Amino acid sequence: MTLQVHDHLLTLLPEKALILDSTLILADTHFGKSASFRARGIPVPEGDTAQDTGRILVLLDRHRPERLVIAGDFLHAPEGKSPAVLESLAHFFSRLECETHLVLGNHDHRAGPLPRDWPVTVHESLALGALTIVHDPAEAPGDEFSICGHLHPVARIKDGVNTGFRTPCFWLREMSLILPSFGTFTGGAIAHPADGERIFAPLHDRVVEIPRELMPI
Amino acid sequence: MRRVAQRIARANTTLLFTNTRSQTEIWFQALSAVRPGWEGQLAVHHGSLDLDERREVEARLREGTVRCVVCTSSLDLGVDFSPVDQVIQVGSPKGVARLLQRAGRSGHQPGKLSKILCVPTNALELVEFAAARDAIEARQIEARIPLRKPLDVLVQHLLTLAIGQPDRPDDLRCEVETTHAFRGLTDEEWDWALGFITSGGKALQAYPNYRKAELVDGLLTVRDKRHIQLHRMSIGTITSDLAVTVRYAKGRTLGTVEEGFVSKMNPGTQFIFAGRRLELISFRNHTALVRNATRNSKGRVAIWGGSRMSLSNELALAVARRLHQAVEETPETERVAPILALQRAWSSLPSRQELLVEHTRTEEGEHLFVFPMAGRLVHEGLGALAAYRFSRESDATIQVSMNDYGFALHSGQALLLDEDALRSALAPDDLLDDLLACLNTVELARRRFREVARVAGLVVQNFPGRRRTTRDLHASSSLLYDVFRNYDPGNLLLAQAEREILEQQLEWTRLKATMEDLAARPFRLVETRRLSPFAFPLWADRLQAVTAGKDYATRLESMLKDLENAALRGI
Repeated sequence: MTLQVHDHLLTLLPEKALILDSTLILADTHFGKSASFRARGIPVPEGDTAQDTGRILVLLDRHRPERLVIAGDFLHAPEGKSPAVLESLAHFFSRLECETHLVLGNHDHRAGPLPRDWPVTVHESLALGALTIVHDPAEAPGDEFSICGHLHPVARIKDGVNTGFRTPCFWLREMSLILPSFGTFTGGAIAHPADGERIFAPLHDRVVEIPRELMPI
Repeated sequence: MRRVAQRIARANTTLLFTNTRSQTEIWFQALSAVRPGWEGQLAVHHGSLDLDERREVEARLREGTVRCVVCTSSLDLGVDFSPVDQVIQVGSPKGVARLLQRAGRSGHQPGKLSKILCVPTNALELVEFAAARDAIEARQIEARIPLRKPLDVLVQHLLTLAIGQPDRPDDLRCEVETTHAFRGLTDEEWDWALGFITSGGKALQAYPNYRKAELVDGLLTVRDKRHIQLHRMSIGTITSDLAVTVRYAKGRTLGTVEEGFVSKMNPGTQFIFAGRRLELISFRNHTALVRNATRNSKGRVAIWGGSRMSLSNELALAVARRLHQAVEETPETERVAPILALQRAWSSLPSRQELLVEHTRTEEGEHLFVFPMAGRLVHEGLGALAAYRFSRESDATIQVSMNDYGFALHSGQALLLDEDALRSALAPDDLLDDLLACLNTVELARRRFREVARVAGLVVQNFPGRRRTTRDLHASSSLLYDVFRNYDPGNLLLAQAEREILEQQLEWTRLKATMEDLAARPFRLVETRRLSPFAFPLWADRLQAVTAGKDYATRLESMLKDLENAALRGI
């Protein structure tokens, strides 16, 4: 599924990321989330870090972008910066062949600064051509089209006959596109699109638009 | 309604039992409406009311200062209310033991007779009442099946003990094994539970940097104050998700309703709860502030989710016997005689000696009605299985509906009355595999895991004022379920959720026994021109019917296709 915004072509990927020109953009990885649960005494198994870095590497290998941008909430919490998590993220960065940018999100601010030797450029917001990448849509500039995360949008789909279900989705608003959360161990909040707004969700190996009829309020 | 009110008027104190919390609210409102003079003499009691509210009602019952309490099974057990001199049951009690238990609330003194008055809500419930009496006379009462090895409870209990008073693990095990539920706990299970609260689990690398309890001088101890605090906040085994507290703006708490109920309302909307007509002022932070409604408009009755109760095996058996008049007529069966006569004339009465199957063609398509007389839960499993096996042979979409007497398959295309096809659809071979395949057991287990995860302390609840400190620890149980399945598939809590689904939700043992029994029964196949009295409720339920579980992409694809077809037809 591709969308045209100004002069840019946005390709929505079923892997919950998007390609803008030659940039791969994804949001809300929340690395170290299970580690922060364990640090607080809740036994949640590790596995999400390896899985999610692996998913990013697969996407980079397939699309060969010049740039990787994480639109916020790369890390989950200060307790999540365990030696093991930091080590596997360092290993992940050592394998990247493209430049990497992080637009800070609220969780990144709480988690504290990244290790200095990571090859990541950090931004509060990032302009790419006519578009802006910013984590929280509430902080997006009103007059420019923004690409955001933060909301973890999930579409609630039901047709009134069969049992309904929920699925992570892209949410296109008048001046912004909200990305689904990328992390395996992240939840979601149900998106309530206003009139004129559009919802897109992964279906097998593509992304489809969800008709309004399948999302009753 | 009027006659129930008359009976209440004649007694000093009445308990009126209903089967659901919503029904108590409805009956309370209705009684208040027909007898306005009873204001202050009626009360409601159910599990979603605040403890103080319930205690007050119980105290008034003991003092004898209340005329009638409308209640659910929240008043079944325990408390002794000697002044109660009348018990009324509205609707089917669904089980012999439950009916006896409720009746026992009246005349609760040695040597006194307990009585219960049963009020049917549909004609066939008359048969169930008569059958319950037969079963009581024959002493066929349900056995209670105790829980087996709920490891979530064990995990929580061990932590509570370790926080209270550090102790040697071996001593703890000896004590735990004195209970029935944990008798015969294996070394593997014990070591797992101990591991889960100390290092995480079997594969150490799956839980790096995790430690809640630890062994200090051989004693199981919890030292981290934050862990202790978190544990204290989430102690308990009764789980209710997304409960919203209903509170007067002035401060008094009334109880809880489900979030889905409140979130659909706007401020100013009226609803009925705790026997009161309330108006919503605001809803935030999981609290709904309310005041007494001043206008008397029609309010919505609070609803709570929950599965419908299934007829117990003993009562189902007694109903089958009663239908065939193996016992003499009673006033109840005389009243339903015309309906039973119609059923006999058009088809036949269901029984447990043979399997009655009706086939009817309507404008919508073909319907098969199958009456094993085995209770709702078993029919749910049987229906899903039969639909799955039929649709495997053809491409037909089949919908299933069920009740306590049988299940029905509905389809636009050919569902033929063919004994061989039916027999193989209901055969007990490959039962477990087929059942797991057709019932989307992953989805069911995921839901079950919600309770398991809460009890085991994996889900951190939000508390007013504490939101900030625990905000980073938010994960839905369904997310946790996926994480465990992916990264620690051997976790025994997953196995517990799956086992409980099979046993409690699907009544696996009873389902299997029923299928073996069906294989030996002769089939009675009847072609009916119109829906028979027993088929009609199943036909009417078809709109709420569930289609066989498929994965999300397939479901979305078919929804999109249906929509497209509908649009094409519109042109």
